[in-house]
Amino acid sequence: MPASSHTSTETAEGAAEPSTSSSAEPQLDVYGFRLPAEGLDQAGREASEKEQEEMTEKWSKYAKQRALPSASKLKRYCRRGIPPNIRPWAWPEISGANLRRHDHQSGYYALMVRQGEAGSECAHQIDLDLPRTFPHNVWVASPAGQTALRRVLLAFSMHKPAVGYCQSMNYIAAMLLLVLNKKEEDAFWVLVALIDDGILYRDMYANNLLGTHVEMRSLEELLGMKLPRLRQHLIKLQCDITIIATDWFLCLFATVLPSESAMRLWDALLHEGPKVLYRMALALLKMQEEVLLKQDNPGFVLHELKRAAHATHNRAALMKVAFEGVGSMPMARIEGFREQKQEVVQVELRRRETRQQLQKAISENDHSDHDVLSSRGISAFADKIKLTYTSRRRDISSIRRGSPSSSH
Amino acid sequence: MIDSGGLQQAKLVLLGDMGAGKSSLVLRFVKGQFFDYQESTIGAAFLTKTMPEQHVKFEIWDTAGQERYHSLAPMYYRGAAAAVIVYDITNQDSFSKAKNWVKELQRQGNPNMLMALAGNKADLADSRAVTKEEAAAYAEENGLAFWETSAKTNVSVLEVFTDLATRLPRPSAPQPQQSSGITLTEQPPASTRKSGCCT
Ligand SMILES: Nc1nc2c(ncn2[C@@H]2O[C@H](COP(=O)(O)OP(=O)(O)OP(=O)(O)O)[C@@H](O)[C@H]2O)c(=O)[nH]1
Ligand SMILES: [Mg+2]
Repeated sequence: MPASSHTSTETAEGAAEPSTSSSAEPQLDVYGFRLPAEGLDQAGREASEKEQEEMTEKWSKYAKQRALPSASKLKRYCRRGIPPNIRPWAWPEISGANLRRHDHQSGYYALMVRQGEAGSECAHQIDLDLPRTFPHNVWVASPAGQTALRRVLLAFSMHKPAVGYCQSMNYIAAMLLLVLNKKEEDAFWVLVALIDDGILYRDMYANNLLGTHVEMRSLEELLGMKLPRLRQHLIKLQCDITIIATDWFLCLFATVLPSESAMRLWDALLHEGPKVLYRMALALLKMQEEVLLKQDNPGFVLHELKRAAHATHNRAALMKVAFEGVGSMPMARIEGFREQKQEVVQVELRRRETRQQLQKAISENDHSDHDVLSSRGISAFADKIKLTYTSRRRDISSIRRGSPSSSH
Repeated sequence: MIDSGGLQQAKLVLLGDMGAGKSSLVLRFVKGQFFDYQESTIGAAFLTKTMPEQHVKFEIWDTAGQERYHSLAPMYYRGAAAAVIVYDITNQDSFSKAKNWVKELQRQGNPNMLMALAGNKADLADSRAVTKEEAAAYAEENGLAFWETSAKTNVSVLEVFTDLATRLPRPSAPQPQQSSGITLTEQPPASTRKSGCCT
C-alpha cells in the first residue's frame, strides 16, 4: 500500500472493492503504513532491507560521533540510504535545518506556534486537512499526531506568511514527524529548510504555485531529452506533464510511493536538492515507458503511473534507476530551463489573474446599484477596467526586465 | 467519441472548494464507498465509470480544491463534456467559489459543456448556511441542473451523473476536436504561447 494508503484510484473503473476485513492484522511498514495484503513485492523489499543493514553499520559510526561523513562520501551515503533509526539525527544535519535553527533564538518555534494558535489566517484550511492527512496511519490520525501536525503547520504559516498553508504541506509535515521521532521542532526546521531555505525551487508553494509550474515546464524539456518517444506520445494525447507530476513535486513523492521508498528519496533530496525529484520522475516514467506508450488517454497514463509507483517496494532497485538508469543530469541544465520558463509562466499567470480581476469587476458591476447604461455607471466601470489593465502592463514589463513583481 | 463497445466516452470534471466533497461524490458514484476522512486531493485524480443504460462511459477528473491550484484547472476542464460544480451547504464561502467556477466555465470552457451544481453534505442540514431556494434560483438563472447531495448518506449522487449522462449530446455528427497545445491558461492558442508573446 502506498504511503497515501487508501485506494480511490487503485482501480480506475470501479465496482466496490472487496472489503479488507480479513481476520489477520494488516502488516505495517516501518512508519506505520499498511502494506498490501496481496501482491507485495516481498523479495524486493527484503533485498532493500539487506542493503539497509549494510548502511546501518556505516552510518552508526558517524551517528555515534555526531559527525557527518566527509563531503566525498556524504553524497554516496545519502543516495544509498540512511537507516530509519539514524534519520532523526542525520536529516536536520544534512538539510541545513540545524544551522537555520541556531540562527534563531531558542524559543522561535514555540513563539510561531503561539502566534499561529492565536490567529493564523490559514487555521481553517489546516484544520480541514488535518484529519484528511494519511487517515490510515494510526499515529497521524491519533490526537497526539493531529496536535503535532497542527502546530507544525500553524508555525510554518506564521514563519512564512506569504506562503501560508499550501495543500501538500500536510503530507510533508506528517512524514517529517513520523521520521523524526515525532519531534515537532525538528520537523518544523526541516520543513523550513525545504521550502524556505532553498532546498526546493523558490515559489513552489506560493499562492499561485509559480515555482511548481516552472518545475513542470523544465521537467517537460528534460523528458524530451531523456525519453523523446514518450514526450511525443504525451503531446499527442494532450497530456501535459503537469497532470502527471504536480503532486509528485509538491508532495515530494510521499503520496505516491510507499513510505519506505519515498523516504529513501528524501535521504538524497535533503542533501542534494530537487535534482533528485527530476531523477525520480524520469525513473518512474522510464520504467513504465512501454506501458504508457500504449495508453490513448491522459487519465490512463496517470492511472498506470500511480499503480506502478504504489507497488514500488523495492526501493533499492528504484533508486538505482533514478541515479544510474536515468543518466547524467547536470544541475546547470535544469537551471537553464528554469530561467527560460520562469518568464513564460509568470506572464501566463499574470494574464490569468488579470482576466479574473476583470471578470470580478464585471460581475461587481452587474450587482452595483447604478445602471451600467447610466453615464456614471459606464465611467465607473471603465475606470475599473483601466486600473486592472495598467497594473497588468506594469507587472508584465517588470517581469520582462527581470525584476520580480511586488506580489511575489 | 464512441469506443469499440458502442459506449460514448465523455470527459467529466469536478470543481469546487477544498473539502466540499468532490472526491467523496466521485468515490460514492464510482465505487459506492464513503470515508469520513477522505484524503485531500493534490493535483487531480482520475476515475472512470460506465453507465450501461445510458451507453456512456464517464472519464472523471477530480481536481484539487485549494485556491492556489486554480491555475491547473483549465487542463482538466478543457474539452470536458460535463462539469459538476460542488459546494458545501454548510459553508457560504464554498457557494461563492462555486459561482466563480460557473462563471469561469461559461467564459472559458467548452460552450456545449453540461453543468450541474451539487450542494453537498445535505445530511448536515442542521448547520446549513446556504438555503436550497437561493441555490436553486441561481442554478435556474444560469441554466444549471441543481441537486442537493450527500456523499455520506448517498442522496442524489447517482441522479447528478445519470441526469448528465442522459443529456449528453449524442455524437451523430463528428464532434469538433479541441485545438491542441498544452497551456495553463484557459485559452488554448498554442501558437501564441510558443512565441512567448502576450497580446
Ligand atoms: N457529512 C458529510 N461529510 C461529507 C460529505 N461529503 C464529503 N464529506 C466529508 O468532507 C470532507 C471533505 O471531502 P472530500 O471529498 O475530500 O472533499 P474535496 O472536495 O475532494 O476536497 P479537496 O480534495 O481538498 O479539494 C471529508 O472528510 C468527507 O468525509 C457529505 O455528503 N456529508
Ligand atoms: Mg478531493
